[in-house]
Amino acid sequence: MRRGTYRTILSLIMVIAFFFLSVPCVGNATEKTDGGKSVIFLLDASGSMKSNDPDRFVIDDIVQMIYTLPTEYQAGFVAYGAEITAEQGLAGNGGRNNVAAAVKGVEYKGYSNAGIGLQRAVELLLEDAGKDRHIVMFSDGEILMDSQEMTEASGALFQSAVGQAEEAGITIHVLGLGEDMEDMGNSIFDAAHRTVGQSCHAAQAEDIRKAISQVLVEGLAIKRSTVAVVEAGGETETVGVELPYAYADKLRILLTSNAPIQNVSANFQAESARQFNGERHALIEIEDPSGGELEIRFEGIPGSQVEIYVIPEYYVDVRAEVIYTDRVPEEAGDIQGDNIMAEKDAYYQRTACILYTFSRADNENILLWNTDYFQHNKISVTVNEETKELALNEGRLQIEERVTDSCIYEAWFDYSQLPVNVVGTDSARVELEGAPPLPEPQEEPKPPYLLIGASIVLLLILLTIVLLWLRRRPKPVPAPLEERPEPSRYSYVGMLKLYITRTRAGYDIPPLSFNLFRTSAGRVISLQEIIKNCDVKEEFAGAEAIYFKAGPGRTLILTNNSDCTIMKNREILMKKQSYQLPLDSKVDISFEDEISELTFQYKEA
Amino acid sequence: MDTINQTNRTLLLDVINPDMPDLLTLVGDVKGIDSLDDDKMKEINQYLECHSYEEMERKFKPVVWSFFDANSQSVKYTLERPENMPESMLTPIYLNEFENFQKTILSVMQSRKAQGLLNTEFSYEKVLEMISPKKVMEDIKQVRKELQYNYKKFTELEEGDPQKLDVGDKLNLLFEDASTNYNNVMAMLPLAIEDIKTRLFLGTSEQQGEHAEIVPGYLSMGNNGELKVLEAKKEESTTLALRDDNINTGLIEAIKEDYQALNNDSNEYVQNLVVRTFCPLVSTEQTVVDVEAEVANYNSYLEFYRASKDNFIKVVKPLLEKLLGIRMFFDQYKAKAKGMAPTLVVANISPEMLAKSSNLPRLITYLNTTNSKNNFKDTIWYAIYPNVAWSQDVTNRIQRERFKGNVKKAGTDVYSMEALATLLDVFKDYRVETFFSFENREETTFNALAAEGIEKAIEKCASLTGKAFSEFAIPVLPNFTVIPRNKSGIILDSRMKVTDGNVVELSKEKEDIMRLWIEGVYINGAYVAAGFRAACQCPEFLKDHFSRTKIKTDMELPGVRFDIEAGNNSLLAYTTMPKEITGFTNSIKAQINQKNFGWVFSSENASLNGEDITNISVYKARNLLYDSEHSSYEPVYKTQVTTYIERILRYVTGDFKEDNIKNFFSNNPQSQKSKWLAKKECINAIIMDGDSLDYNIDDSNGVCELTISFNGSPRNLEVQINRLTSNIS
Repeated sequence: MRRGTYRTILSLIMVIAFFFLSVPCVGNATEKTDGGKSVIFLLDASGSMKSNDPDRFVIDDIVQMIYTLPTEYQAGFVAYGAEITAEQGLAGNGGRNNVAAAVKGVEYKGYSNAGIGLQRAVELLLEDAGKDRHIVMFSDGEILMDSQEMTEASGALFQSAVGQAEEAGITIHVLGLGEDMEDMGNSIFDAAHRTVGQSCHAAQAEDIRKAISQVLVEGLAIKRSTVAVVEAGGETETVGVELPYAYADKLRILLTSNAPIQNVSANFQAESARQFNGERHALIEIEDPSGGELEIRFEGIPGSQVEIYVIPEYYVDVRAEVIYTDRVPEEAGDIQGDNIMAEKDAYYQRTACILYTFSRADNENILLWNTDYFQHNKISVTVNEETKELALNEGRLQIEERVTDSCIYEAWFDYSQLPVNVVGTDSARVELEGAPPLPEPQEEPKPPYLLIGASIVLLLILLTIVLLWLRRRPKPVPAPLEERPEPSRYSYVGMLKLYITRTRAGYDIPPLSFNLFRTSAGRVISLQEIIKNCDVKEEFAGAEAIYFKAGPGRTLILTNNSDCTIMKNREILMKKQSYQLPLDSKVDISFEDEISELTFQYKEA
Repeated sequence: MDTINQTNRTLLLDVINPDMPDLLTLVGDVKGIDSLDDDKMKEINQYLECHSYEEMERKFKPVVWSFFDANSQSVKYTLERPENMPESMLTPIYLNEFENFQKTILSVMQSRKAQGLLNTEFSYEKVLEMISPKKVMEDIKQVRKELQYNYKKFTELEEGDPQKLDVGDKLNLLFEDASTNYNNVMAMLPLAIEDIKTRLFLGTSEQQGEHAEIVPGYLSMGNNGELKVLEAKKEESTTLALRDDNINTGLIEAIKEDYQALNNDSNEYVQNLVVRTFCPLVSTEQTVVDVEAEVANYNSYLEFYRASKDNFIKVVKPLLEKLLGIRMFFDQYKAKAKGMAPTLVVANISPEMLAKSSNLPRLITYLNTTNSKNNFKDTIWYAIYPNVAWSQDVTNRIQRERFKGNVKKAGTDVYSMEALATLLDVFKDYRVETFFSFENREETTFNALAAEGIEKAIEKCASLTGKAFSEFAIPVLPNFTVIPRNKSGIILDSRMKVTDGNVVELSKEKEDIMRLWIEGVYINGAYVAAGFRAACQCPEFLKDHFSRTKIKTDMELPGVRFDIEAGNNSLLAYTTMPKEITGFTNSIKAQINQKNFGWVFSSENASLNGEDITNISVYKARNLLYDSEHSSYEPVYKTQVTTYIERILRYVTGDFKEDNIKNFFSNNPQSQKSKWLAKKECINAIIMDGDSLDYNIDDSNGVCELTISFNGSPRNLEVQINRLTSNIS
């Protein structure tokens, strides 16, 4: 056989039926090594704050922020007056109570030496190796010291600290309070501008909640969602919510208001939980919630508005799976001609389909984000410095990659577009195997000429036999006519009046009458005979199997052996049954052709 | 009449209004059922049963549809609603008491009856003039007089006066009447014709027929004492005119407004015409008459009016004849106290349709329900089968010109003898006696019968004799003439012409006289015969007619045994139809008496106890059962007596129980036979003097033979009644 023919057949078979080679492969996920994120809250605790925040709302709000931060954040605190008045180094989730206690212990007094405050904050952050570092600064005015020189010195220190922060990639967010901070271009706000942080201003301490929200959401990129906004009525309010965060590791439920919130309680199913109550906020930290339903009760000051937020956290692990699809290069033959067996083309064309799934860090069997809530949410994936956005489909991300040689395939994930806070693995690495070589060409088997020829001959023989059988088959014998009923010993009386109400031909046949009393006693007569006797040429299918014979007491016996529908007194007369018809009976017959109809009356002659 | 409370319910086999429900439709599908349920019967009675002519008119709303054909520029009429014609293009003309043609025909009948004149003596032309525009105008004159009188009163009365409201009500009614004339152009035609005539001939007598202008003036004497008619001064005429104009102006406005409100596409000519018709006393309004145009209009109006009236009459006549027949059916029953008043069930379907094999089971089921139960309220005793084809080839002519044709020719709405035979075969089983009469034409009138005798009729009925159903077929002869064919011309008016000198006159040329030919109006004898016989069933009716004799009437018995031929019965009980001819010749009467054929009316001069009988009486009352022994046909009463006795027997004996039958015929004074015998002196006795009623039970066959012998009649009749109880024992 010619090589060209072989090549064509092989190519065709391979193209039509793709050769699927599915090789599941678990990728070696790489762990993130750095220490996460850190925030230092820097508070201007100078005497002027007494007037700008007489109710210490700012203190309460900083505490709220500390507890609101997701677990991956480390929090610290620095307060300054003329000097550093309070300080608490960075602490993880477990040490936040200490930080909160430091905040609560602050007293507003003395001058405002922001330089030394910021300097200290930057120092604390520089001690941490985390990549994402922030300072959230609360101030109600410019630097003001005892003397001009000191003020200037402090200013210089402040600028130097800002420079340090800028250099170290620390972001400074400034929340200005009161009239003195209305000028968003002052030196304090300049720190935010220079480090590309958030600048917010609140005229009064009561209004600082909005600024805090901005810093949390936009500055610190904390994912939270509002689940309810309730107008407090003075009584216990109950809010029931269905949370979509299946298998979340931690949920923080934050209640904030512009007025005090009291008697906060919550119903939920979880492994453990903690509750932190502030003056105007409450935070419930739920570890490993097992149900989606949550019920919160609280009492608020009448007229106040309570906002309820959820801050979900997931600790994730990434798994990768590779499926290879190999197919014969389609155009190889056409392009290469007889060089099909050239070394270059002796390999399959391989496509690797890499599927990433996300599971809980503590249990790899629990797959995450495969609910409707996460469907089509985007995750940015960076491979070889090329970033593309992929949408979650039933909790999976899929990338297709053409593979020629074996290689390491590493992808980095950016979860910032997900509506939840994600901690944990953000990259995955898999080894891709190179395409396998094409199999050796095999000798094409000869067509089974003998078998084909034999089959054709056999088929012809069979056909002839069938035809002969069909021709010689005995013709179907018509079903034997139903037996006539037994003759009767009675004599006929009366007559039949026949009204052919419908015929197949559509003709109107005048009413007919048949004198029964002239029929010899004992004779069984069919309806067809009666109709024929009346000189009607129309055929009535089934009439030959409807029989009459004389019955006792001047009655007529009707036996129906046909498939006609016979009705009398709203009753259908059964097949192969005999019925006794008294004089004046009226019977309606629909014949087997389902067209012709006849009505007869058995009457006195 | 506790048991059988009526013996005269009659089924009319004809169509009155094809749009109304008919017997077949109402009966519906009868497959597998023997009889109809009570609700169905109630529904049928609700739609088809009539106790008076008025009820029939109300239930069937006899109507002629008219529409204008733009192609032929004419009005078309049809009895069947044209299906492809939009509703808005059709005008129904209901044949009620207000319809002009029917009113005219009824007037003819009434005046002829009142005058007691024969057909030849009666001046039909005078009454038929009612159709002419002049008579229409005369009617309107009466209306407008009342209009003006009431409007004047209305304007004179003060606002808020309760009397003013009463007058207002009257005015509303009058306007309603008047509006029937001016809300369609056809009704306006006679007005327009008369209006033009009035205006053109103002100041001239109609005899002169010339037109000359008049100038109002007053009579005075000249200086020399000579009489002078001086032209009136304008001021005086204005003063005179203003007085009545106050009323007229208001009325004109009211009529104008009413006309405009009723007619969306009102035109000024018609509006002025309406105003002129209903307020002619406008003395200050001058209208200029364009003589040429008005004469042309007049002639074209007259021609159009004649053509449309002619078309209308030709179409409406067959229906009108049916209606007159029904009217006469009910008219026969005239009793001081209402007893068993005849009831008519109008099948509203052509008997040809009813006689189709596919439809007969429905009729049978209906009759099985009415006539095979021991409830006799709905029992049908008689049927009327009118308009039997006189010529054999007529059956081929039954082709209705539904859409394309112009008018339906009189005499085409006839039914065949074959359909009659088919129906009689069914009626026989339910013992329904059928009155039939031949189609309306000159050959079936008194004149023809008097001239030619009954041979032709016997010949035509030959196919119905000698059959099992012959007993139930009653041929009625002759038909009644309302307007004879040769006297049915109506002169509407003459054409106008303008002579030299611009003078208008009515043409006296023969071809210019506008004439309508009604071509005779007749009433089928079957209606009157059935109506009369139905009336005779009522003891009240018999009592009224026999009160002058010593013969008693039993108020509990129906007139089933009443033999109209016996004694002077036909001179005491006669129809309400006036005499038509002077009578039959002796030879014709001998022929009728010899054959004893059919139900024959006679228009004989007769008197009883010095009182002339001016009405038509019954001369023979026979069916088609031929008694070859006596060479005559059987009287009709025998059939009904047999039916009656059979039904009573079935009822009283509880469906022929042997013991009850014996009781029925026993000599016990409480037995039914004894009760009947006790009343044998009465005019409506069931068993009369000389009659006998015997029975014989044949035990071996379980059969009871009943023999009813009618004395005084040429033949005994035997009926056989089954004894159903034999099977039970």
